[in-house]
Amino acid sequence: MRYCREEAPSDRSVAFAGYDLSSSGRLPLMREDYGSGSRIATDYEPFDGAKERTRLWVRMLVQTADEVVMDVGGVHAPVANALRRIMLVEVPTMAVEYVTVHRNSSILHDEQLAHRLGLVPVLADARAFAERPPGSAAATARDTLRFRLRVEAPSETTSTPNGGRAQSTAVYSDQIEWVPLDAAPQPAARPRLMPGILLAKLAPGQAIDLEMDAVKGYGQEHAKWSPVATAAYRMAPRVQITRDIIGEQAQRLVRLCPMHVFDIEDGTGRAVVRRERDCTRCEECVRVVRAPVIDTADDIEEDEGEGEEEAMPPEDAADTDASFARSIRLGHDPEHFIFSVESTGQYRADVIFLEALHILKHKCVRLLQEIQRRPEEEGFG
Amino acid sequence: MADDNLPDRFEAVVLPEGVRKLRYEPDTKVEHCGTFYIEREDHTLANLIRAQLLRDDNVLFAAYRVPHPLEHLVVLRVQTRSARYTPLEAFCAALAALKNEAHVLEDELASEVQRWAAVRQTATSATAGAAVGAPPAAPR
Repeated sequence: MRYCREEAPSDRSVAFAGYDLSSSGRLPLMREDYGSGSRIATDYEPFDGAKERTRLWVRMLVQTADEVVMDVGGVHAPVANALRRIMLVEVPTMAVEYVTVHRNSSILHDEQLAHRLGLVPVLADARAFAERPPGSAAATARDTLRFRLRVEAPSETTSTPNGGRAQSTAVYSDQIEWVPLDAAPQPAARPRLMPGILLAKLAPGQAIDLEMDAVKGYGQEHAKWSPVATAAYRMAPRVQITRDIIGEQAQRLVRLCPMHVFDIEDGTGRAVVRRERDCTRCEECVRVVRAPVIDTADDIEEDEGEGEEEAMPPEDAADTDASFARSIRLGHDPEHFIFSVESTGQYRADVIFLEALHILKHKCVRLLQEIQRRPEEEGFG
Repeated sequence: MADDNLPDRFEAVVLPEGVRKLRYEPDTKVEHCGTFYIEREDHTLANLIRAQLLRDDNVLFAAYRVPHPLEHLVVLRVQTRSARYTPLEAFCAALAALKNEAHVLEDELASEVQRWAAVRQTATSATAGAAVGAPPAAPR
């Protein structure tokens, strides 16, 4: 079906009644026919905000400035994976990109020093900055944070407190100072680099004097712009006891599990699943230990050359002393993900996740808008 | 220089001048089938859209590929079951659903962050400096 161009309606929200591209709007599925402009019925289930709300849920379990552990439920693996990938390489941060070395007599080469500076987290919110166009030399306060590092180690003749020879001087990221670029209003908090990071060591008399520009960028370009140290997820483990395990056996099960998933119920002495989340699915509890057949004189005669024979418990047998394979079911919930995100310091960890969701949403909106523009050029057949 | 033919790093991110973010070409041989060319995107979005399309009962075929690792382009081919539902519509429906999903998750996380803040506040006002554990489960 060819797309017939028609006069663009003055109010786009009418033509695309099904679409509300504003960030807050609930977005029902498309009802307009793209081809002829006539209305068609689609079998596709329209978006139901209330239903979606019960399906999707988020629960934070650990929240510190640097780290967040949260449960995300109701999403499918591709969504979880997209979020993880976005957090890793598509959430922008500021990082040192241009270094002008005025003087560097340290043992580190200029480029090595510049590389180290690039990796130091810049504690500033990149969302407040514009991207500096590639190749542009002119830095403005809108797109650049400028810092200066000036250190000089005391010369050899300077006496040291311990009376011996002058020692090496450590240069830390704390010594880097922010340089305001123009008459821009001073921000409430002075931008700085993550303190406490060793940059170089200077021998007596050596000096470093350099200026650096931090610009906004993405982890896709270079890992120094990645806002996370770790952004990972795992599916929530599910452990089920399908047959009662009691008494001695229950105690053995509790001892067997290296992650202490199981516990014994008071009174009944029954084994219960207590810390399901801790299960790493090591399968120690369901491992079938194959007991080698004890060699007797007869056996040796019978199967010579065959080192050891292994025996599996028959299908209908109760659990052997070695395994709970028939009483425990191990699995995972494919729609329940446990995310753990560690920040490198630029953002709070939960903010990174929020940003990733925002970016994902923006990607979808961007493509929808691209279609909405209905340009006359080729490409929309 | 050794890096003469080294592509610029920003090429993965910046859409070049005059290049369309999205192109759609209907298939000339197969009915209600078409190909989307999405510039400056990778597996992150392509796999997501593909998975979403496959959840749609009216979509017969959906798959994507990255033609070349140095070209930041993904190619997504979609075939629907009937002419009453075009690939373009399916594509829009998938994007809209994904957009909504991200939106709902955003709301959920924002309210979760608020819940934690509230719990922290009550904990600090009740016993100053007391360690704050996980807040009680919120009703779903």
